[in-house]
Amino acid sequence: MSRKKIAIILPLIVAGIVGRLTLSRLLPPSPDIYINVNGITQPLFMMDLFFVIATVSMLSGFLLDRRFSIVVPVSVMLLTDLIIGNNLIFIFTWSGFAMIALLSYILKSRKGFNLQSKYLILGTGIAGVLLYDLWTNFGCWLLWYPHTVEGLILCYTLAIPFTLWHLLSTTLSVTFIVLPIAYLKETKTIRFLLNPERKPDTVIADN
Amino acid sequence: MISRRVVIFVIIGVVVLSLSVAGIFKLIDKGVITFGHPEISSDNETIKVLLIIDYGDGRLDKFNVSIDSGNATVYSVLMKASEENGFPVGAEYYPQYKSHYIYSINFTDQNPKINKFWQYYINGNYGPVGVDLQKVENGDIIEWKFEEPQMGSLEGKK
Repeated sequence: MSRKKIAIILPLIVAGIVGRLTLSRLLPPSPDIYINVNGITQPLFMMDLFFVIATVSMLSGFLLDRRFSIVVPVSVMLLTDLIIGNNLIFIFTWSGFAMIALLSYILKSRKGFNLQSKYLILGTGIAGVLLYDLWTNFGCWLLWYPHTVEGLILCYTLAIPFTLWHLLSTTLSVTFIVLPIAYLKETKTIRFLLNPERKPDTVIADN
Repeated sequence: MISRRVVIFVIIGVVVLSLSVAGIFKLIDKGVITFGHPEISSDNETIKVLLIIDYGDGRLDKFNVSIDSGNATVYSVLMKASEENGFPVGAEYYPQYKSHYIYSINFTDQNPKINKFWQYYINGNYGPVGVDLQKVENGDIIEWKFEEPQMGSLEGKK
């Protein structure tokens, strides 16, 4: 494995692990706004740390090749689940994040990872959230709910506040983390940071 | 000179934003979105509920709990029974979910190793929302069961 690849993989894995294990106490309280769907009243947002692993998964898809793009989110989930604990739903959560990474990899392969693709990057984030939530909630239904239409509807109804939060938090993290990294990569600042011997103006002139 | 593309983008943006705002106001008007929990009432009549604790090993505790209807939730009923009958309850509040999580009742702690947790049922149906979000009414039966996670029957759901 090349030094460059390690320099991308390690920070992503560390950021994912540290973020998932430490940021839960920093989440703001859910606002006093409620949503009533199918007779069930729930807070508008159920706030979790999905966006941390989603952001890491997207970046691994954008910055790495196909194989390693999957390795990063799965490693983060594996190592943190060993500490936090999990159950059979891990089959769906791990694969869900791998799907987000693959989606990002596919976009990068076709359109590149740069600011010209900013709307596609944002769209990938939103599509990733919807794909992940559809997939993992299907897993919840399979594992814990009655296997009836009513059970399926209840499962997806209870997931609405999570999905709304996932959409909001991931849109923000794509805007404030993923897109700036796309800019840094486009201007080759990242290459300069990894290889300080090269002067940045020389690096930019390479464009 | 503003390009045609920017003008189209702004027009689409304004239309989408307007429709979104109108949609949100419609949902607020219909009571789908509310500010403050819609089922918290200011009435303070006393209601009676039956609380059953099933430890999963044949032991069963039953308590008749009287509580003000204004703050009668599954959580407040459990805590009132705990205070009145002297058994401890382990609970942690999660502001991001606006509810408590019950991890221990009367010295029986959740045990992830054997996949057993405390779950509540209301009138025989699995409690789908957090304990602070589930209102209770006069005559309701709340059951706490120490068991593997599962959703019970949905029939007869209130």
